[in-house]
Amino acid sequence: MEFIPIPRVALGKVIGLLEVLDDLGGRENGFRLAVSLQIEFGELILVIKAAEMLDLVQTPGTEVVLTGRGKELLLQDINGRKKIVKRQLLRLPTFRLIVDILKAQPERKMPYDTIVDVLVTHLPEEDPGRLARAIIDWGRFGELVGYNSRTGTVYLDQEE
Amino acid sequence: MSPEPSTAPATQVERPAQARSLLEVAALGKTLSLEGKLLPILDGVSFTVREDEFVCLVGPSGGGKSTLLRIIGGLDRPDAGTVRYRDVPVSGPHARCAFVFQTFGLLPWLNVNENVELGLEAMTLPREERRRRAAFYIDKVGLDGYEEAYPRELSSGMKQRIGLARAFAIEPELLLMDEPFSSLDALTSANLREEVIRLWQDGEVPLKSVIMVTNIIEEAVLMADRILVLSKRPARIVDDIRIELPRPRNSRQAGFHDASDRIFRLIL
Repeated sequence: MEFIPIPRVALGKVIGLLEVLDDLGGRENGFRLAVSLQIEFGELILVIKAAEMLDLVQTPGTEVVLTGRGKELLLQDINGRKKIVKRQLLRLPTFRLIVDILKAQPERKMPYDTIVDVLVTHLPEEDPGRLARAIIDWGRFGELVGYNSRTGTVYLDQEE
Repeated sequence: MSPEPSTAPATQVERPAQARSLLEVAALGKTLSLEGKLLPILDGVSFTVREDEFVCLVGPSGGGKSTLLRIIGGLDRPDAGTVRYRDVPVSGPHARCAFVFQTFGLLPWLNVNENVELGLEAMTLPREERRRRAAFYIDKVGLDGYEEAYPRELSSGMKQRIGLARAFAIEPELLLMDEPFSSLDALTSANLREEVIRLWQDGEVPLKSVIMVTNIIEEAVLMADRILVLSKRPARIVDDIRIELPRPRNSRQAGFHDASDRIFRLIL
């Protein structure tokens, strides 16, 4: 199983990208998009990659194109959107790894530092702290993984 | 007198007939004293906002839009003229009105839930009702899952969602937003604009009308039923434009660019 790092991109930006694409008829050249939105191209690429990981856009050539799932997400209210994001997160091996480890714990929770150790083992080339924060951020959005910074505990929010 | 609303060239949509008046602003004037010099900010500003209207205030930067919003919300007093809310003069902050600011206004040592509940502490509500409302509006703005998060752990878009939840939890009829998206990047603001419109249209939320200050003309055309165009200081209303593009809107709709260009020429 290939563990792909989760980019440190706010999911609000990913959904904003889908809305902008929808506004433009569902597709746009990536470079033109960066110019019209006045966003640095490197930053936009990160957002596009995040959207692609979640199967919300495809990137044939230099185009960014909304997928059927991306269009479906836009039709939902915020809680419907979060459900779609959760479904997609559960398909990512890195999320599956964390969710399965949390599920195996007696109270479905573990210390943040243990999560960091797990990530060091499975994604040794990544900055584990950064990756853990990205997982918590996306996990909170999908109501899949929660985190209490007072106790330093990561927990399974609602798996299904 | 404020001009009668003129209509931007756009497709006609059904509107509620004879919506009731919510807010009446009449002949407002305000002068500030700055280093011994008198600086007129507002000069004879008059308009009415009806129920179920989304009104945007646009105009040159530093032109008094925020001052006008603060006076409407009772946070500032005018030197001349009156503000009446449901026919009652506004003389201070009132419970049917809530603000959303550009800078979020969050307390960093409180988590999401506590920041939202904080807005309710000034109201004499039973603790259970405070909890119910905080949970309901946290859900409505998409912050479920973030209840225990502190502002430092959140993106700017999520921080502004807290600002929205806190304002909505007061259950205002009139929401006053002062450039709520201007400190967000283009993608995050595209996302939140659309969600604010959904919340305004949500039948479970008692909000009736919105007045939003913005410096982005396209944002006003995307969101507003009416756009009040203010002159440079001292601000007067130079046009009151009804936008009747069907919702949901996008910039490719016929009439969108005509409306934007018309406002742009007024502000230039």
